[in-house]
Amino acid sequence: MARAIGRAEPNAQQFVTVLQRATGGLGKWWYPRFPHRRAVMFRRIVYAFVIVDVLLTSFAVGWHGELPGELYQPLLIGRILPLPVPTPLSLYVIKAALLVASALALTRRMPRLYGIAVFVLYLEWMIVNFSYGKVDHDRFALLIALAALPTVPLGDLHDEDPDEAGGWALRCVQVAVVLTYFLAAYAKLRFGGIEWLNGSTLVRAILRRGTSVADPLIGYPPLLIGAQYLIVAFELASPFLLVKGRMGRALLWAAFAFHAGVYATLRLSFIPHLVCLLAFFPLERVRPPPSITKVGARFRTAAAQKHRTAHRSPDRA
Amino acid sequence: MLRPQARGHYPRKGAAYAKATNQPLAPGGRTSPPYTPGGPAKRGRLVRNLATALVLAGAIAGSVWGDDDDFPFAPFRMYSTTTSPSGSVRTPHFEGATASGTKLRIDTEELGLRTAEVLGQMERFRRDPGLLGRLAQTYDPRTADSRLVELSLVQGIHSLRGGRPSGYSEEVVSVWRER
Repeated sequence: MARAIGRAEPNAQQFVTVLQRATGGLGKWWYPRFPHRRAVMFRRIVYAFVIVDVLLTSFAVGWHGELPGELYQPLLIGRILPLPVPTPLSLYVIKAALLVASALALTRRMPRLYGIAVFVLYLEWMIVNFSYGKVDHDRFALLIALAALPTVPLGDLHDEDPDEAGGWALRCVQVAVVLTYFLAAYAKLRFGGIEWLNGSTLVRAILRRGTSVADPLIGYPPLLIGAQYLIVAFELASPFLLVKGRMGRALLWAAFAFHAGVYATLRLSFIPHLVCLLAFFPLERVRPPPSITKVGARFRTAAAQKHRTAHRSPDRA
Repeated sequence: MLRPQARGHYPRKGAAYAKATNQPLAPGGRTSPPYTPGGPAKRGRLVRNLATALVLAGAIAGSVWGDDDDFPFAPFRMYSTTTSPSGSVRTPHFEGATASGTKLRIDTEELGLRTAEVLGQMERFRRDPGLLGRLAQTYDPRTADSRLVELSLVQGIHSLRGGRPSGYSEEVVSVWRER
């Protein structure tokens, strides 16, 4: 009996050690020490994009307010909360608030408060968008980005020190991007079955929203079936996006090529998702063009001078 | 030199920080924040770990058992259903008649709905033509004469053979007429 326990002890210890090491490794992986500037640059891109998105790419959400209320089919989250039936006024207010909150989030004041405001408003904007009979999956990563970015404490823009809080936020976005692809492959298996691969889903897509580039392809079903195999292969390989080095980079460019192809043939832009793909890039190396930096510096010098003049002490005057 | 550990990730900058860390105050009243090893504080990490686990679990559970209704944890199902190579593809549009008798072909977007949304609510339109009437009221007429007095939802049906389109027909799903 005692022997059995004696034998079991080292095994249990080994198991605990292995578990501790695995947890430690996972901890390090989830909190990569990316330069702080990378998170700051990504944050700027995301909030600037929300403004562009609300005005240009998802402006059609605003149309929903004009629709008869009966067409509003609230999602589970909309029924639980419960969110009101959209009206032109309510959507106008959400849109304006989203624009203001994103603009304020771009300034460096109260990043957490404005970041949370943008997340909540954008989530509602999307709930409205998806409550009329169709739910898209191209905004999952952006929603994760908007949820994670307010947790990043803002230091100096030029701070290239490793920042684990920023690293965590960026890692979350990267994982969300990968999940978007990988779980899309799973959804094809779940809803379409293995026959999806040899089916005519791309023919359907082209007949519904094909561009002049795509229309001639409809006469070549084997080509489209080949494309379907490639799509699923890419989606299944997407976890390799998280691998450092050549493999990760190749897959990243494959992702951009895939979306360029999809846009050219089906006018499906996936722009919110593309913005999140930028989380894989060393954004800290992006420097604004000198002209912008010069204008900014001139503006700051002028502002500082004005401040000094206004607060000049009487004995110096 | 041992510096006092600041709470959180990046310590607050400014006069108070400079005093606490015995540093000279930089021009402009700011000190550069030294990086505090360890990243986010312990509680911050715990909250982040929990949030990560919850969202991951939500996304995976939504994909395995959930449906569109569970957004933001819905399955990632755009273009996930299979169209049989010998099946058919349905493309909806509206057809309307104005008060002056002009017949119009109206794309779904002109009535504020995406094609996929019309497909998603097709059965409701079929059951309740009155919905088309309410939708017709949202159509923006340029003049009183171009007001819609009739609106039908039509499905174009492209039949496929061997994965190629082989024919086209139309089905009127639902019709509303002003009384």
